[in-house]
Amino acid sequence: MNVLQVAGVKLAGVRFALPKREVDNRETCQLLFGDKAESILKTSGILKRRVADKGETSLGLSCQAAEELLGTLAVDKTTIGGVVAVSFTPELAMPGNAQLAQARLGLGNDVAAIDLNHACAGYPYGLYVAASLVRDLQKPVLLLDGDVQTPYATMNTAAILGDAGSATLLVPDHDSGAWEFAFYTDGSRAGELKLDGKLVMDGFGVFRFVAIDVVKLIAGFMQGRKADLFVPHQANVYMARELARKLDLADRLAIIGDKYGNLASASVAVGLAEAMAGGFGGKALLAGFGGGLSAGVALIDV
Amino acid sequence: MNTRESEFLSFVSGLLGRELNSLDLRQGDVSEWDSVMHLRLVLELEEKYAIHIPIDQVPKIASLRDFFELTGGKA
Repeated sequence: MNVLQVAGVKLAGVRFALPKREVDNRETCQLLFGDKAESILKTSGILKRRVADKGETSLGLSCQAAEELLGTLAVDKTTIGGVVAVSFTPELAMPGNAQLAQARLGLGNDVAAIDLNHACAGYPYGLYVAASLVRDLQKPVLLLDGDVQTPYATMNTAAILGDAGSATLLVPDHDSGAWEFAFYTDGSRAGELKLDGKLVMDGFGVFRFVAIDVVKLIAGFMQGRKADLFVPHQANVYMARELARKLDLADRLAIIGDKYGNLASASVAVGLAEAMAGGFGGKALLAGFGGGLSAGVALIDV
Repeated sequence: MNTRESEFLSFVSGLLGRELNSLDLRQGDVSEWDSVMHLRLVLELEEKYAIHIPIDQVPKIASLRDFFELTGGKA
């Protein structure tokens, strides 16, 4: 396992934006699955979901979160050196969300605008790229992470998926210690979770990936390290809880999937934002996993 | 088949909505046993038998006998 480090970076803040429409997942399950509704609800643990309406996009939601974040922190937009956008459902196939965000947010023409096509593993990847930019530019960098994935749902994903956008601001800070990252990819298993017109998922395959490969990645990464908070991707609530239990992190687990659904990689940003809003400070272990198949972990100071 | 096995099969049959008469049935033999039902079986059996099935054991369960043995039964 390669462990990458980026020092001299501080997390200034995280915000998220959700679609206006909240869906009662029991109603969805009863409508779609009839007698099997309770099975779906019990195994996913998802009680409510946020679903985008026409016109609500990954970019729009992420920019909404960014405007709120930059406004709250009173950041001069001309000081921002980079924008990194993570999404597998960008507003347009081309140009990407990062380029569109430069104009929509009114950032300078000299920003490094970088798009990452990543699914549920994306937040640690985006954080690594954004942190590296901060280190190299010595300027604030904005990380946007969001997806509107519900339009691509099939019968086996319709009752778990939600939509969201998020914004994370990283700034230079010479006193900050090293953030650490590790990544894992097995592209030979791409067919187990892919967007090919519709979101296609092999439930058994993806579960096996999380239960075996992701557990191994995180457990190996955490050898000799400690975390005060664990924010995993919220594929479903059962999986998040069991992953935390297996890693002896159950008492430090952030859960948000029950009230928003599976928000793809933004679920990690949302979990982190809610923990910070609740006063969290300390070492946060962030874990994303999904399409690729791929996974990423980050241990950062909050 | 002993009482415990019968009770187990009866319980699982209720969850899957069809009569099951052998612990040797495998996931591919039962159309109702998809990935969602797999997790439902884990959760329901954990509750009924007051056990915990670790997440890394869950993908290894391939037959009803595997489940039965995890509940503490010896078939």
